[in-house]
Amino acid sequence: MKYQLLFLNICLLFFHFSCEEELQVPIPDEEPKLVINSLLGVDSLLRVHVSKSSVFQEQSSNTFLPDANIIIKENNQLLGKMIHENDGWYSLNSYTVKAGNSYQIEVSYPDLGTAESETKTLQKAAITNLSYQIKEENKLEFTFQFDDEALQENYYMILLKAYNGTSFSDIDFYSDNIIFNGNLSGNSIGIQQNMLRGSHTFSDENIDGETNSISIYAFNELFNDSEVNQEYKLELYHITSDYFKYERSLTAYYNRDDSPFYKKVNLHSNVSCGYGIFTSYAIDSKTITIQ
Amino acid sequence: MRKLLILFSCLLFSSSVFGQEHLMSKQLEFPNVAYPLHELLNEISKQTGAEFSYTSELNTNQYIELPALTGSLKYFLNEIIDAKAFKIITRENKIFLIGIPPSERKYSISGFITDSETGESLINASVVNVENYTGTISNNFGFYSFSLNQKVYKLQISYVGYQDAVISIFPKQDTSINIALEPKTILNEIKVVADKKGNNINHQFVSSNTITSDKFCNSGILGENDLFQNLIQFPGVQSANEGLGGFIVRNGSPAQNLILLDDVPVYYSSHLFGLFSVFNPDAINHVKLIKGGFPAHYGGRVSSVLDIRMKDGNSKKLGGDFSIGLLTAKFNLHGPIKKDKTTFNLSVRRSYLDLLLKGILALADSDVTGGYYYGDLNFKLTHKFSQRDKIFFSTYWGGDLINLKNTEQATTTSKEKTENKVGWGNFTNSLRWNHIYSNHLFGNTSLILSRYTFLVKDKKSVQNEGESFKENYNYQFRSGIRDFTLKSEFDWIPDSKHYLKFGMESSLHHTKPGSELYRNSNKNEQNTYNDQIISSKELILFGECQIQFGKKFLVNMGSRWSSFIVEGTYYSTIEPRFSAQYYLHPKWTVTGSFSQMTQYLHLVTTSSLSLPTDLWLPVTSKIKPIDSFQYTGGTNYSFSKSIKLTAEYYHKLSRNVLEFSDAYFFQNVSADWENIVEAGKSWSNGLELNLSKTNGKTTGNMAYTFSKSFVKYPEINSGKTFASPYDRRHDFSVLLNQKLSKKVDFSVAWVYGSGLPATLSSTNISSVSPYYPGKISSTPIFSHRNGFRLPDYHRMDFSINFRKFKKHGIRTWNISINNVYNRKNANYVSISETKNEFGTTSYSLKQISLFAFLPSVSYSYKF
Repeated sequence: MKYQLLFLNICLLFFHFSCEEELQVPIPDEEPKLVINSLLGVDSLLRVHVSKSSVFQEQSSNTFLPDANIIIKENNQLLGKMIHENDGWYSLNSYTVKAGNSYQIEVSYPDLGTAESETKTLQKAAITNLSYQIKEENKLEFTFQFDDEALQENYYMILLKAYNGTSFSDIDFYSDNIIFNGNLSGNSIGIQQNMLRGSHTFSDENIDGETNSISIYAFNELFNDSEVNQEYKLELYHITSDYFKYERSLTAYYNRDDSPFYKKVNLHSNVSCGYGIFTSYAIDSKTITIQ
Repeated sequence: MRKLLILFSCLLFSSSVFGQEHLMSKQLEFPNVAYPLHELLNEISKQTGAEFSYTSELNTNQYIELPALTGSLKYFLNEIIDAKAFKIITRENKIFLIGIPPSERKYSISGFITDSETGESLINASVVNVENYTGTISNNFGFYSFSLNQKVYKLQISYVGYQDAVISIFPKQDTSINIALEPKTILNEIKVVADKKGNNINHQFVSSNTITSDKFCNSGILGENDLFQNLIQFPGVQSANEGLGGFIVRNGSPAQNLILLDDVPVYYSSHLFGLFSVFNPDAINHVKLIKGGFPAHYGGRVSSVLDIRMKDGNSKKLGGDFSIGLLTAKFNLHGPIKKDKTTFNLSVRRSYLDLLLKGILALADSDVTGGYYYGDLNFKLTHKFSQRDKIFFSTYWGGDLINLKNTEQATTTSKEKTENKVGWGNFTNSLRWNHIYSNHLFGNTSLILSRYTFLVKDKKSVQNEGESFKENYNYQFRSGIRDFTLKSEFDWIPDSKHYLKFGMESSLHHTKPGSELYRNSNKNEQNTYNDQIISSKELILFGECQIQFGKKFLVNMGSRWSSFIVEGTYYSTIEPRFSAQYYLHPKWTVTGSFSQMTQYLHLVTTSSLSLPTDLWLPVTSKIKPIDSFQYTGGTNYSFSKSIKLTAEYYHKLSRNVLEFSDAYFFQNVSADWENIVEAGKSWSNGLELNLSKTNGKTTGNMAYTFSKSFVKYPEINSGKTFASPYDRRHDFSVLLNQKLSKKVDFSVAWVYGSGLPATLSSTNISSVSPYYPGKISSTPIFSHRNGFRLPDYHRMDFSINFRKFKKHGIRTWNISINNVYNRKNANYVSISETKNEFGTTSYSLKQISLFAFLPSVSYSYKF
């Protein structure tokens, strides 16, 4: 609240005095670079998206590269050359990602050089005892447990999805659990204001090596027809440090919307000689039906 | 054999010395309190067996009153023989009292220099022996001291804006002379305190500029006469961004400037998010800015020291002034409580935007009320106990407050009232005691409290029908810093060629990154209270000595030892300081300096603006203090008494400067700051040129700075060097003051600066959604830090004063225009995306500019 009120006043001041105008200065020109995007899910297909960066003057919707040369390795052993599927997505036949392995990628393209990255896959963190409780203010409380592995830095992400008749889609939730302290959007009071508009990731800094019981809250009025059974899916992602930083930096960027009041945030990247992210996660999920 | 002879000689010498010491330590006991001197010497001879030998200059008939009846021979000789007129030499059993020729006898002249009309202390006023232009200047309390031989001298006492005083003196003993100078009647004659006489006396002016508040002539936004706006006329000083966030000295960040108000550090020095400084010109007496060659008694920040001294108050009569402008109203009252003994000075300033806004909202019958205001209160009380003891109490309270109140119908039978407040401000206090221990030794002891607080309050209350409002929700957040300091410093001036300063300082810093109170009676939730304080301690010892070699060479060397303890981590630094000044010609000097500075407090900020949420946090075991090493070399040339040219080169290297890491994205900065910042190094160099004219109807100043500044961090910008955020290559300013008549004067100021570096997200990349690993979208990123330059900055300001001399005072109308030719300077630049009717996207650079052509008017009356 303190930030919102403060920034509201700064904005008022700016609008009061300031004026905006277009500058006759050329936008700085930059050399394009390779961009690798891949979030490898354990037991999922190995897929990679390859494109090139574009400067604003040459903005085009088709920056993906269909004929890049991509070599993928598992534990430094060559797995093969990846094949273009469509729109810049590459795969390795029907090869699935294994837990506990390291994966190396090398992407080369004429005039853009070679970009490289590496990640190590994780074991999934199992959800235990998912339960729910209907609370006041149309609040639906989900509680679940999971075990955090001791003596190592772990990162997680929680997504809550609801069944809309054809598929599960993301829904907003909030939590006052300590794990979301330092979230990118401050939690205030009342369910309407404090949905996690910030990040959905957290570290085990405050829960290291414990069995954790976490409660999250969603609107109970999502489904208009109270006769219909409501189906929710809770997904717990065990993610790498790079995944955590990437999600947080992306969320921070969109929260701040290039505001002049914040210092610039850049998207986290673990790709050398290029941009993008090449990292992994292991997911466990549980579905629950509200009667 | 040779060795034996040497050994024998040594033994002989030491036994002789022992013998003399033995004689001098003999205990004496006298039956009477007073004796003629010859009788006293006989009595001493009787008791000790010593033989006296003396010249006829010794008046043996004079009566001596003994300070005690028992004591050593050494003690009594020191008490009864004037050491300035006679040397005491002992040889075995003989004591020689040898007269010193009058021309070689040294006597000290000391006292205070004040304004004859107000009694205000004059800081840096010069006292010069006109025969050879040796002398001294007054210190921060107006005290001076220097030594002269026993002969007739003419002393000239000067201070810019005051009539010179010339006095004749024939020192026969240590003498105390208080000097009151008369102010010149020409108004606004000089802006910068010129040091034309100072150049010839035992004080250096390396890399420093001084200004007094009555010479502030560069009005800021909305005609507010602002200290920081006046500082940017000096070479090497720039504003951070137009009107936002303090000032930059020699490419250092605003957080690297030590701002002292009557010796108290001020942590947040701006009002209105950085538009105005918190220093009310009405309360200021003297301001000194030091950019390099730092004396050892200053430290704690690495870029500059801004030493602001408040007015003591008129000791002769009651006076004051008030003014009203478009943004603020000011009132000042000063005068004696007991004439020539106790004085006070009270200054109050308040903005009244909120009052206007409240009126408008009330007229509109709005349920919402609120506003913003800032205010300052400066109060100083001075009491002179005696010629040797003086006490000063200074206090400053200043703050900004935003408040918002809203009342609405919650249900058909109840109303809900919400109140939000965001406030921040400084509260500083100092209690200082001046004591003159002897004509050569001046001491000042200070007890200091400085507090900066940022506060948020949210309250909700409900009123049911027929009842009064009852609070049901309360949230409070506080952060800030609190300092307690005890400081003792001494000026020891043994003779005109030496000036020593030494002292100690001990501080306790309490940093509060954030404490919260939460109470919600609606939900029957427990009160929560979370209070965290980081406690750190600092101990400082310093000493410096200024020595004059011959008539041409002046050296100041010193050192500062600082130690800092915070949560089990200990840092200690020795900071050497050195500066020198050499006269090639009476009008031409060359200067040089080296100084090391250490800063133990970091300002952690999340914004490019100077926001009150910025936190001062002490070093940790992971985050080390900033160390800075600065070398300067320069020259000063006086074309005439009025026109002076200075040129100075500086090179500065800093270690452990902090920057947020490339992907810094944590909200809770106070908790995570160690993990989101990177420590790196920065280096800057620059050349400053300054031409000033300080006398006559037309005065002015022209300053140009060429500088380069770079930073390098291991993990930022791929470890490559990049331009520092304060790398302004060219900075130029001209200030012209013209007095048209006794009643009318005007000033024109023009500043130009090449563009500051900025980071621009100018590249688009595809990015995968962290929630849907198959979904790709486009996100702008930046590839280089500070790779883009904002457009050049320039602006012209104009100000004119119309005075009328009335029966009881002076009335002044001031008309000022900020940004005369309506230059739209870029405060912020971003890439803007536009889609036309055919869905084609185009990109362009957009800038946000503050403050276009802005005229203002103010009225003031001085009585």
